[in-house]
Amino acid sequence: MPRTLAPPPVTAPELRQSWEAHLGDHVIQLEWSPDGAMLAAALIGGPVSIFGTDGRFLRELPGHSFGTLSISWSADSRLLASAGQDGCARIWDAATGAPLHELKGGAQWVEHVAFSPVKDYLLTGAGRFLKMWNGSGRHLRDFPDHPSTISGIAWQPRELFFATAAYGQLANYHAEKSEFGKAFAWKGSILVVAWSPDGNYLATGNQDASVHFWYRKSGKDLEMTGYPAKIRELAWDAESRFLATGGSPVVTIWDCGGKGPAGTRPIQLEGHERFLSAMAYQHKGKLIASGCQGGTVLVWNHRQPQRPLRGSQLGTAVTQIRWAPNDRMFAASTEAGLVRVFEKSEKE
Amino acid sequence: MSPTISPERIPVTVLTGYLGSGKTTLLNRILTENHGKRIAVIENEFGEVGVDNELIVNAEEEIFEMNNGCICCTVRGDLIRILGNLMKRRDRFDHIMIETTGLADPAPVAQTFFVDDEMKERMALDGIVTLVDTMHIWQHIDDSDEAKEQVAFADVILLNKIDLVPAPEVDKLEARIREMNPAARIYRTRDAAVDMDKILGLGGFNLDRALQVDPMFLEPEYPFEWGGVYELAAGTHEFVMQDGPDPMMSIAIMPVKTADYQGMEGAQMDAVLTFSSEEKPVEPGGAVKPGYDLHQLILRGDGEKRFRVAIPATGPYALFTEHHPDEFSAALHGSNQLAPIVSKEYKPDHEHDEEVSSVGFNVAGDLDQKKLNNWLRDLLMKKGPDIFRMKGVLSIAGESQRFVFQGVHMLFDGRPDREWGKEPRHNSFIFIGRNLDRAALTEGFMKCLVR
Repeated sequence: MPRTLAPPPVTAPELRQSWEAHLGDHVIQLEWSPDGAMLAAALIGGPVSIFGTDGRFLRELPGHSFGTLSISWSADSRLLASAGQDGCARIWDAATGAPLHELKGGAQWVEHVAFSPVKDYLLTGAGRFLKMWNGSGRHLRDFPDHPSTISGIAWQPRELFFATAAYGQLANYHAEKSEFGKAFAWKGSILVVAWSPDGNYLATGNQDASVHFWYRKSGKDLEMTGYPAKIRELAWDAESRFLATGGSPVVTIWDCGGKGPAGTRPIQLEGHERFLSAMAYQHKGKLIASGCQGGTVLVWNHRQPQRPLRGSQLGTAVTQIRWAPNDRMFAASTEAGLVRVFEKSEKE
Repeated sequence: MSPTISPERIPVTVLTGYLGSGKTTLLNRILTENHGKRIAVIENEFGEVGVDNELIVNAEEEIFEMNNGCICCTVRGDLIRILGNLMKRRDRFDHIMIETTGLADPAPVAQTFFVDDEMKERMALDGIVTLVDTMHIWQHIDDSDEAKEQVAFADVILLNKIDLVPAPEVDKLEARIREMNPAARIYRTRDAAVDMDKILGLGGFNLDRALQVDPMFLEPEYPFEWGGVYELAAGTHEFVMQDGPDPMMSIAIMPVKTADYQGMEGAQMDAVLTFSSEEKPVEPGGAVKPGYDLHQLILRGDGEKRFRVAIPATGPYALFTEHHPDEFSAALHGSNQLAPIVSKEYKPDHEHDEEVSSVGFNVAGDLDQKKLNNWLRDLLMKKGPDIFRMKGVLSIAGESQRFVFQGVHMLFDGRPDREWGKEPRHNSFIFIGRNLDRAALTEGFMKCLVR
């Protein structure tokens, strides 16, 4: 999309770039394989490219005609699932690029696909329909229709629970139990769901410019409001203590430890000139990488919130940021189709 | 934070109308006609467009209300999701067409393009097109809120299936619809055949055309029924009245620049303001002075009554009277009875029995921006749910450009437009809604004028 504003300059020292690729179309999702050997980049127009960690182009999967909407790696890194606007989810052999299975999602757009990080289960969300499959393409289960289009699916990182979001509710399910978990009814439109790594908290970013926060076990909830725009960016730190949120040009971080964030002042990381569009904490380390509509990527240690440690300018709006499983590199993508991979320097 | 400068926003047309009014026929036309535009169509869940096109997406209407309960923040969540995705695609399109279901309230879909920051940045509401089934509309128009709202929200109304209805019936329907929404362009169609440029590319802001529809409509309803301009010599004149239907009548007399229509029109706004001020009672035999006082002539008892009119300097003056002077056989006398050089009857307050109606103004002069903002903020806070649409071209004091805007309920989108240049500065403003208080809206608006 053409922009009439020049990308803002980055004042932080330049990040160390490992490699980059130009895919020429809006990158809608980036995912490292769990073994860290591959990076998949899905384009809005359909194709999914797979790169080696060193940047070597491995293969392109055709994805979905009319467009790909979501991708997910299986826990063993052998399979990549994709979902798109042709009413299907597909399972691909990541090593050969061969299409293995085609799954009918139940609606024109299959917007969500998510492999369990724990076991061989795959969820698809299409319109109000939620289905569970396995990596062999077998249909295992239909869940009850949602009250409105499913806007997010997120597996709890360590167990077989998962959460789904739709307008009016956040629901909890268990992959193997027939009774359904707790549904948190809440009159609002949820755009994104994020589990804390320890699985104790669920956070949602919402259309009405708020962040909602649930304790999974008790169902107790909290709401953080006052953002200038809807929230589509959420990131938990490795300790499940800090929740970083977007919805403005400032990375706003809530301390959910102790008594929780109620009544506290968030940590605010100021350095982006435009609204945030992507962010991710390291899996084990303390760093957070953030990207904005202006194409700037910054890396921070939120314990030193005064200034970013390093940065880079990607030219157009940043669409995704993902740390590699080993935390030593991260990938960022843009709406113009740039994928750039950065290395963390040793001292950080 | 620096402001975001948006690239050209993609226009969005919303298509409303009852089931069977011809929406699908129109969509099929839009998709097959060779108009050189690449159009993405969001079809409603029952849509049955027969054209195979990858830019047709079916959507279930998902109305998202916000936690704050404000109806003006109610949006179509499905559109945000689908259009958010389409806008990222490289194979861009020139126009977006959104079909609603027959019973849909057009507000949430329109509001989506005002409320959501992502939608607002990349798209702009171009117009709301409402199809009316000329044959069956009478079954709905009296008791269906949806039918009324669809007419009231429209920028363009297509009276479709006119081949099935006798022409006088269509005339009657058009008059009825015109009363509810005088700002809409109305076209008569069969099989929804209409030139694309009549429904696409309205510009949303291109109000010149819309507001020129019916100049009488845009006249405010004046608080006086008659005005006349006289050439008066310095000295004392008399306003002589016979018995009439009312026990009192308010009048104002004021100097004007020229003894012609322009002179009178130049004084009209001052007269409106004067008529909204407090009356000063004047007994028979008492004196009336030119200026900005509202004189209430007391007419108790039978018989002729005379009021002195003291003219300080020879020149043209305008006299405005609450009722038509003929009702009292009233006239201004110098040494003889004086005839006005020009006179005008003003549109009386007429009865509006439509629950859904409109109020418009077209007045010369400049608006005080601060007063206008305060008035609108207050008005929309209290009456937002009842005001369906609001459009205007305004002359803001101190600004060389026209200010154009349109709104849906409490939300509006405005911007400076071209320079006024040699065009006389004026304000055109229209409200369409339910239970509008014409007098209050007129008075509120007039108070925002710079005196």
